[in-house]
Amino acid sequence: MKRQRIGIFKLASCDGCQLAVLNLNEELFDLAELYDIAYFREALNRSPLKQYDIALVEGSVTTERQKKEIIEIRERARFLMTIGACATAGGIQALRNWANLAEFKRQVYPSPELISVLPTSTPVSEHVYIDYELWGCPVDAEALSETLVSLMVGRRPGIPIYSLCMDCKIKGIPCVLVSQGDPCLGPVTRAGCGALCPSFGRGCFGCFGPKEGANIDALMHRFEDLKMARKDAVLLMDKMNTYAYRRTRLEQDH
Amino acid sequence: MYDRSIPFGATIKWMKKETRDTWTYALRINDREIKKSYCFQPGQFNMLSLPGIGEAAISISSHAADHDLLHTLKVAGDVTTAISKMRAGDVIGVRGPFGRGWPMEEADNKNVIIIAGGVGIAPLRSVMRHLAARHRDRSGKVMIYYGAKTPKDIVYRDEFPRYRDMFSVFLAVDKADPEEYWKGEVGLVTRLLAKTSFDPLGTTVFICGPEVMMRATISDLLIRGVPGEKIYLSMERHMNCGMGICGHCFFGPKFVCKDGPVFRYADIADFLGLREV
Amino acid sequence: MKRVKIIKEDLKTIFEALAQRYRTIGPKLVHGTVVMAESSFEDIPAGYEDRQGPGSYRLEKKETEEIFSFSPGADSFKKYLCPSSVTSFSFQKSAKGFVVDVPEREGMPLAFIGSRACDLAALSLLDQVFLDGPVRDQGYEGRRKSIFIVSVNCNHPSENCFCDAMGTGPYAKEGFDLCITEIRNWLLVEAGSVEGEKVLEILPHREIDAGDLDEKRIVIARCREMIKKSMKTEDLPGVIYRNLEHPRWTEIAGKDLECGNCTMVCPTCFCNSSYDVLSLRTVSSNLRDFSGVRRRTWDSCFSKNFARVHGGNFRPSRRARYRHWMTHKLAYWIEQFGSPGCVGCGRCITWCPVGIDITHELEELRRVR
Repeated sequence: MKRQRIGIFKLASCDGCQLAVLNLNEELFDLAELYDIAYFREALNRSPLKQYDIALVEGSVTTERQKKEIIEIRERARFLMTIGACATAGGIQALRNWANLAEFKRQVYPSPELISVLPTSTPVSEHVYIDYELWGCPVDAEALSETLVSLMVGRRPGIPIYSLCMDCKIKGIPCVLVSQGDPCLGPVTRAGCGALCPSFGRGCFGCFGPKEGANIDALMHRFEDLKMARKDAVLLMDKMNTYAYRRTRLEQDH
Repeated sequence: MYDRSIPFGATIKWMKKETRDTWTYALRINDREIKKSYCFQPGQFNMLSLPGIGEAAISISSHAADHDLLHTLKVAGDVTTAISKMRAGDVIGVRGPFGRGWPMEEADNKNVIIIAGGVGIAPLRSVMRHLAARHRDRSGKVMIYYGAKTPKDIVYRDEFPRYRDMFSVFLAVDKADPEEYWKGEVGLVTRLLAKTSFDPLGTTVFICGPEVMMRATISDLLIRGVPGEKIYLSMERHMNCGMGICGHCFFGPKFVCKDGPVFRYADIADFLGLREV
Repeated sequence: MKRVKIIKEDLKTIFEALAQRYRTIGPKLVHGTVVMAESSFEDIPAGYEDRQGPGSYRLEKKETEEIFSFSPGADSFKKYLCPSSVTSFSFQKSAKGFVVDVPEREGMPLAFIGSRACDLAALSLLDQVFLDGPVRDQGYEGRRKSIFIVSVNCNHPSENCFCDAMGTGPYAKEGFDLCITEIRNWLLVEAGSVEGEKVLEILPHREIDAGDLDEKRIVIARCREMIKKSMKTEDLPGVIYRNLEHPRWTEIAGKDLECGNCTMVCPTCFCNSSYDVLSLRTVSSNLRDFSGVRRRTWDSCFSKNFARVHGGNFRPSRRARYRHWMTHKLAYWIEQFGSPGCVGCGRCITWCPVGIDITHELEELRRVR
């Protein structure tokens, strides 16, 4: 049987999700056996090909060049899947969507005039049609494996869409929000990380983004009751999934 | 008795294309012991599975006395798509039978009306087969009303001529394809029902189809004077375990998998009109 | 059945005697919370008192000789008898078909020490679900049949307890092997089974007299007085059925996070999902041969796709999902199994991140608008 061809692409990102692919460990060999890994920016020195069965895209769209690049990738791929918070939700760099770009440039770079970027950082889905998305900063290797194996056998990937709280309870981790009064985004956040922070007694800060239809306002009111300033509560969400949390909240208002 | 929480293997003996998206599969249970103790009632269902893909609840379309165990399924989700790619000789997983079927004692020697929409005819085929097998010895009329989208979407189309010999059969389509000859009704099943006469107090009604169609039909039947105790319908819900321990299939207080899928209308009437229960 | 008095230190003897034949599961401190865990006598958070409120739980060490100074913790029997994630079977698929292999059940039976009356009531409800249906759940049955239960009558109900109103507590009437009532500096231990009596025999003890039983009654009466929360149950299920379109449901939906916490901590919520797990490891490139497992994990009716079928979702709105949960607990359950599915343990109130209170919501539904 002819193996399906995978390309792993990168836009504006830290490469962490590509590292998550490498973190499949032994499964990486299985992946290489089951699929033809034709392009892998982080790991292989190959030039892009014409056609791919599956394109995995890491990173958000932040420059004019990337805008063209993602359209090109879409045209070459039969199935396009975003991996990680940047590609799926715009990433930490989407913080500039709510700020003054010139100000940001001046603070970060010694020669800001050399930086040519779009005023916003946007998820891939705002530019091309995507077939599937995997959340997380970085993506979870197990979820990646589950998705790729599901695509092979022909089933919907079994990625949970419920809240992080469910994973906490399934793992028997006591609630940090209830028992310590620590702010935790768990109730409005997608499961997927295996409840990493709560298992160390820390609140969730939303690596996996808002779950579908999350009732963010209700949680923010709760944080206010816990004497957490509104500004701090919003800051909790203003990280790698800031764009997604803010958008979910806006949609909720209407 | 075998454990109904573990799938057993069944080989596809043959398959038949019913419509562009609906197939009938004849299964042979591989394990001899299970085959011997496997018995079902019309209206019960099996969980058909493909290891690694998942499970789907599919009603049984054959009659217990039939030679083959039949399932008719419409290609929709992962499991049915995967099954549609299989061939005779391939093995699929089966758990079951589950649920409560049609109350066949209510059909014996009584007038029976069968109303089906789309692939909803599948669980009623076993009733039709049951009644056909007893046709000579039984008293009471049998009327079958069946609605499909277009003439090409009529499931068991080749079988209806045989049923016509024994029963009154009325077919309707939502839309007739102008290129195909169609002399039957164009419109909803309820229109067919309105055109025919029957004894509302001496008739048992079995219905299966989309929920909106069942609700509309039942409201017409009630207006015609059919008591709610004489109307039975087969419900569809998300099934996961099939045996009342997973909670997915609730319809109001009912577990569709173990209290149903066939319900007496009077028992669920309070919930049938409610949204999102 | 036998009833005796023992000194507190001999609770340790009970632990040790049971540890010979059972895995002993008892109360233990984890991250500042009382949970059920594999534990010994020393692990009991003796002297800790909890303060619970809607969406809030705090523990505090008190100067007291009391052992069972805390109220029911964050979890219950459920996590041991129907574990949050279990492998139902493994399968090996080939071109010819598939072979299923059911795993052996794990060895040592479980002894639960420190279960409360509400927990016992919840256990009998779970029994109905998993054992009285058309198909007995063999995994549950296997784990359930050989357990040993040491229940404890409550001295310190939490602010969210309402077992008295539900008729399930605060003291255990049946369903235990041993039942402990802590009275000042001694323990009244009652046997509820032959197995329990056998354990009593090895303990140094003193027979009880009528005065001791009076003391037990006083302890229970005092506990009853301390229970402040209540739920009016006389008009269930009717009051809910009559109010399925009450505006209150929409208001709750505004506050509800649908995180599923209430269903996870509830000792009677049993919903789960089974699915097949494969991995890149076990799939071959010809796709004909692969192996995997069928896994069953806790799920919740608050999950958005819980009632999804191909082409639609039977409960797409948050309002409908909360209504479904509460209606199941307080109305459907009565029709399904003969009693409410709520035992009054208050966990769903304490562990709701936004403090939605089922007793309060029922009162709201009663208000005509």
